[in-house]
Formats: sequence, structure tokens, C-alpha cells
Amino acid sequence: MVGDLFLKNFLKLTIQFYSGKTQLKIARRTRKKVIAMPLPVGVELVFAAGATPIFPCRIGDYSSMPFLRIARLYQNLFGWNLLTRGIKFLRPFVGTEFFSEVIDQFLINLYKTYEYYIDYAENEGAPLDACFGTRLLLGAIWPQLKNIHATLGYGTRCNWFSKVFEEISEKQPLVLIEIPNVPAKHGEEMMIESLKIVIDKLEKITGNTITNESLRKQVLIANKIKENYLKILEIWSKERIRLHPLTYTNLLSLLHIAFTDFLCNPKFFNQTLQQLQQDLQKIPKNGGYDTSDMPKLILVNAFGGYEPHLPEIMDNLGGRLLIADWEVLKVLTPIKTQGDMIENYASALLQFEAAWMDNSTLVDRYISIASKYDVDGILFNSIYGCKSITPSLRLFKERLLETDLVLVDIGFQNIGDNYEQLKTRIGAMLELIRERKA
Amino acid sequence: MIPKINLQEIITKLQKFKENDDKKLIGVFPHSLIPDELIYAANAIPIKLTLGGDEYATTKGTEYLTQATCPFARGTIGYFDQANPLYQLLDACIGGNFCNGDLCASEMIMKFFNIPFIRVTFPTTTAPFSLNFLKKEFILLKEKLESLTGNQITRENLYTSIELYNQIRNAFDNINKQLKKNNSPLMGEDLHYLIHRFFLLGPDETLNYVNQIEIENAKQIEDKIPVLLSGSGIALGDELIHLIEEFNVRLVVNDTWSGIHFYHEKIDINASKAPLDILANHYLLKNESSRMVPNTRRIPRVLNLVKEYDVKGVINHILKFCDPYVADRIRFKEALQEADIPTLELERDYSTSVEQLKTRLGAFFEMISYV
Repeated sequence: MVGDLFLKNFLKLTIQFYSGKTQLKIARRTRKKVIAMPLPVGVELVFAAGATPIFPCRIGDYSSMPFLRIARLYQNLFGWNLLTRGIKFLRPFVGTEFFSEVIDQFLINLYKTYEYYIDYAENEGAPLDACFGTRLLLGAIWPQLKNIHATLGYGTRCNWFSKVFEEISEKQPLVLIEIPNVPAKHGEEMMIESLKIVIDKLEKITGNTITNESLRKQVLIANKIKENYLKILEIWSKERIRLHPLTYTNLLSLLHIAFTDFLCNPKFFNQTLQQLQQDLQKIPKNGGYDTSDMPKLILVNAFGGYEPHLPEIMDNLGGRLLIADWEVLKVLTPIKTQGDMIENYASALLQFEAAWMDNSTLVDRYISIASKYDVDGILFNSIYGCKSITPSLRLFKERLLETDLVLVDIGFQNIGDNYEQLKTRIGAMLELIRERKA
Repeated sequence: MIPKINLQEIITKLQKFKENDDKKLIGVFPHSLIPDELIYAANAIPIKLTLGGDEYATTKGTEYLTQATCPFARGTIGYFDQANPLYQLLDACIGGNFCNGDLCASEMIMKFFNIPFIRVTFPTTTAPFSLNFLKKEFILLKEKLESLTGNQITRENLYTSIELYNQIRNAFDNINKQLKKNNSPLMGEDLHYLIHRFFLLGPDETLNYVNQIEIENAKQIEDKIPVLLSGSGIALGDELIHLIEEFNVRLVVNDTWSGIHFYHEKIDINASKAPLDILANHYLLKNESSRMVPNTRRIPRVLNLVKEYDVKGVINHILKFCDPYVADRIRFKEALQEADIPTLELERDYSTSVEQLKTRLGAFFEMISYV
């Protein structure tokens, strides 16, 4: 399914993604503090403090995955640069399907570990009817308390999310960024004060000072990462693409999570993304995939968790799935790097909160991004237990009357709950889109 | 002792206030931590949106929100959808971000029911920057109320308003303390109706009414087991307190927004401070809700109230999907277990069968009757 060049970059990302435990060991060895990051918001601050941010779900035990063992062994022996040769070398032994399996099954493999986290959280008393995302967060953090020095938390519009951080703070230090839901002057003032306290706490935890320059340096690299990420999203929207559509969606799924902590290495992440987006643009003359007949849907929303078989279902039904939450939430908007970095960073945090300050605004953001990428419909992920974003469904339906977009509402509470129903509902929607286009 | 609320009577009175006194009626989400004092100082009447308990209204509300939103928020939308005559009287509404239910329901009211809406944002923490922020939110609220009502809110009339509300707090506190007596003629349900009357009619009517209640000469009710209820509020229309007191029990403390949260702490009036500062200070630092992070007030308050009222058992009342109290459940349970206080965790929504509730309550009350 994929050319070897891609495979190298995608494999690099995948191996790095699944190497959370190794990255923690490196952090310990280099005496860096580890900060759990549930969202990418604030990641630059953590790096500026000389700490290692980590998305807690990446610390799981993925060592049993066969491809990972082989790929790591090869990487350790020969390094990244020779990975391509390694792929050619290994292919006769493991077969072509093996590598497709690695990439196309990325989400499904990942969610097998997620099921463990959900069970852990529920056994420890997390409410069964809390949203998937927060159960996952609790289940991923609680077993790792001895490996994490603090958690970065958020005071945002979702009160339940804030209360989950209170729960975490009972067991380990919490650095809470309070982000006011008010894009006015007093909101800016509060944001700056809140940020100063966060910086102070990070400095106390790490023993390092966050200077204007150290924050600027991290923001500069983060801005480049965002630029590359946006390019990868733009390339997705083209009619002719280099990667198989299912592979592309799995890539977007991986990026969506990897972006949370930059895979603990912003330089590596940036370089790999840059190479990947450059390669994605070079479609061989007789190569690539014509997706002009394939309806495109955008997932609303991904960060609360979703059925991992969705990309596969979409692919089987002849559709393509876009995952673009971070762009919707303005987390991919570059941060200003001139002048006072605290003011600049505060402004960026306020923009993030303003993007979802209420559901009408959020709906407008998703529709705007859908329009940007020429998407045909909304795959509305009704996460059971989400009282924050899921209530936007009614607003979506009202708003979509003014557009050509179609909407299908799919329920999600736990992995694998209603696979057949998803196929039926999505299939019907894709048929409708095709009829409209014909 | 205190009669059930006659909604038609309330509606008639409110209509008179509108017509004769030209007062604006401003709906407020009851747990929003919006200062009623500010609304009153604008010569308007704050009307708490406290109706609830109706399964049909809750189901209607699900057409706007989701099934996983608290039934109180859904019910509130349902009442608007059904053109409830009380809510039809409102000239405006104020809501905020107390919880997801509040935030999403506020947005739906704004969008679908053609009523002017003022949004107030409440901070998550009680840090000094949060206090400064809230002061400015209250300044904005003041300006919007002035614009809506056409009345100036002066420093003097705001102080007067705060003093009046403190009088109401004192009055309710004194009445609640009557429930300490083993032979008090008052029951928890009486206080429930009294406070909801206040929520719907405002302070002037309430003070008049409260001053006319004759407690000393009323018939005594003896030998009831004192219990405390803490957690999600009890809406007007929710029969839970009535069910509780059908047993040999007196609800001596209702530790919710529909009870003691309003009057547990009086506002500390310091004439050298600006009244908006005083309000911000009180509503941020002295609020009794569990929405703040961290929530440090609930457990010490409940433990003190248990002692003060010689309570024999505590009901931890959680409306399904009521985030602040769902989040608090384990911590609360452990704290009360450590203090050796029998506790019943009662998670429900408005569709929970009465028989099921009675069974659980009955078993609990029987157990504590032996303590």
C-alpha cells in the first residue's frame, strides 16, 4: 500500500509514539521532570521549563507488538537512516501486509491499550457514565503516578474536565492553567496572571527558570510543527493523494495524539513532519490515489475519544475521514514570537478557549474548517457522558440547514459498542452524499 | 406548617409587580452564583429558575441537550419549550458557566426562546486573579442590568440591597435553627417551600411573609430522626423532601442551592469597600457550591452541621450527571465514613421510581434509627 520512503517517516512516528516508556527512562536519566499532558495546550511551557511532557496513554506497555520489537531492534542496530533498507530487508520475512497492518491498524492497536485504561479507571471508582476521554485520562494517569512528577490541567468551559483535574490533584501535583471564557480585557488580565502562576509552579517543580527567550525558542519550533501539520491536513483535502485514504486517516489519528506532547522531542517531531509533508506532496506520475469520487467527512469531535474502527468503516464504505480538532480549536494557529512571550502565550490560550467558548461558536468553527477542506458532511460523534460538546448536536442541525453539509449522528460510549449500527448509518449517509453529487 | 406553593398565586403576584410597579423580572439559574443583590438594586426581581422534577419537561429538554445532561438543566429547557406561564413572564435571563448543564442550557434559552440573556462567567479557582476577574464580571453585569432596567445601580442602593438580603439570610438561618429542636413544629418541607417562595417572589414579599409566621404557637412535632441532605439541589416540583419526611424523619439541614447555601454565610459588609468588591468576595470565596477547584468548603461545612444539628444520618443526593457532586462522591463518602457518620448515597433522576426511592430511604432510616 505505501512506498518505502513514506513508510520510513510513518514508522519513525509510530515507533516514537509507542516509545513512551523509553522516553520516560531518558527523562529520568537526564534528570528531567515528567509532566502529564492531556491536551497540547501548554506544551511549549513544559519544554521551556526543561521538562518532558507526555500524553499519559503513551506510557502504556506496547512491547508485545511484534512490529515494534522488530523495528526497534533494527533502529537500535542501524539507526533511523538505515530504516528504509531495513524495511526492504525485512519485507521478504514478514510480508507486505505486515507493514500495512502496522499503519492501517494503528488506531485499533492503540485502542486495545485504551480498553485497559478504561477498565482501570472504572475499577478505581471513576464514574461509568463519565465521557470516554476523562475515564481514559484517569485510567492512564493513576497507574503512572510514580513516573510522573505533575499533571498539567485546565480550568476551561467544561466544569467536569476541571473537576477531573481536582481528582488527579489528590494523588499528585497539579499545575492548573485557568483559561477564562471571556475574550475581553479583564479576561486577558486574568490569563496573564494565571500564566505567571503556572510558570512559577513549573519552575518550582523543575528547578529551571522559564525566560522570555526559552519560551520563544519553544514557540518557534512549535510554530514550525503547526505549519507542517496544517500542510498535511491541506494535502488530505486534495483529490489526488499519495497515501491510501485509510492510511492517511490513520496518519491523522496518530498526529492528533502525537501533537499533544510532540512525542517528547519537538526537533524530531518537526523534522519528521516536514519530511512527511514534503513526501506527501510528491505524487509519482502513475501513482497515488484518485479520491475525487470519495465523499469526505469531518469527525466532530475526536479528542473525547471515538470508535477506533471508524476509519476502517469509512474506507470499506468508500469514504474518507478528516480529523482536525486542533485546527478547529485554534491550537494550530502560530503564536506571536516578538515581544513579551507571556502576553503572546496568554493571547494564544485565550484564542483556544474562545474557539469553543460556547457551542454556537464551536459549530461555526467546525463548519468553517469543513468548508476549508471541502468536506461533504459531518460525522457527529455523540460521546455518551459528554455534557459539554455533545449538546451542540441540535445547534449543528439548525446551522447545517444553511449549508450543503450532511450530518450523521453516531453514538459512542465504549469501544466496539455498536459497530454494525455505525456501518449502517455511515453507509446511508455516504449514499446520500453520492446521490447529491451525481 | 408552611403551605405548598401555589404557582398560580405566584404568577398573579409577579404580574402585578410588572404592571403596577413596573419591575423587570429577571430569571436566574438558581445555582449560578449570580448576586441577586445586584438585580434587586436595579429595581428588578430576581426569579430563580427552580422548577423541576417533571419527567415530561425533562424529556422535552432532551431534544435540546443530551440524555447525559443533568435532568434539572433539561427540565428547565423543557419548561421554556412548553411555554411555562411562570417563565413566560421573564423579561430577561442571567446564566453562566456554573456547570455544563448551566452553560449549555443558557445557550439554548438564548438561541431558541427569544429572551434577552446576560451571560456571567465564573472562575474555576479562588486565586486572587479570579477575584479580580469576577469583580469585573460583576461590573459588566451591573452595566447590563442598568441598561436593561433603565435604572441606575448606585453605591447606596446596592448597600441597601445587600443589607436587605442579609436580613433574609438571618431570617432563614433563624428559622432553620428551629429545626434543631426535637419538638419543632417545622419540618424540612416547610423550609423547602419557604425558600422556593423567596426564590420566586424576591426579598420584599419574603420578609413580609416570614414575619407573619407564628412558630411558637404552632403544633409541635416530636421524636423525628434528624437527617441532613447534601449535594444536588431539590427543585420546586421535586417531591424528594416530602418522601423523606413521610418516614419518621425530619430534614433539619438541606445543604444544597435550594437550602442553606444561600444563607449559611452572611455577606460581610465593610463600608470602606466598594459593594461590588464585597459581592465578588462573597460569591467567590464564600460560595458553598462544589463546582470550585479545589472544593474545600463542603466537607468541613457538612461535618460542622452534623454536629450542630445532632444529625443521625446524611443523604448524599446526586442528580444523575450533576458534575460537581458526581466528582465529589468518593471524597465525600470517605470523609463521612472516617467521621463515623452513616451516609446514604442517593443517585437519581426524575424518572427514578418512587417505590425504589422509598425502599432505599426506608432501609437507611431504619438503620440509623438504631444508632
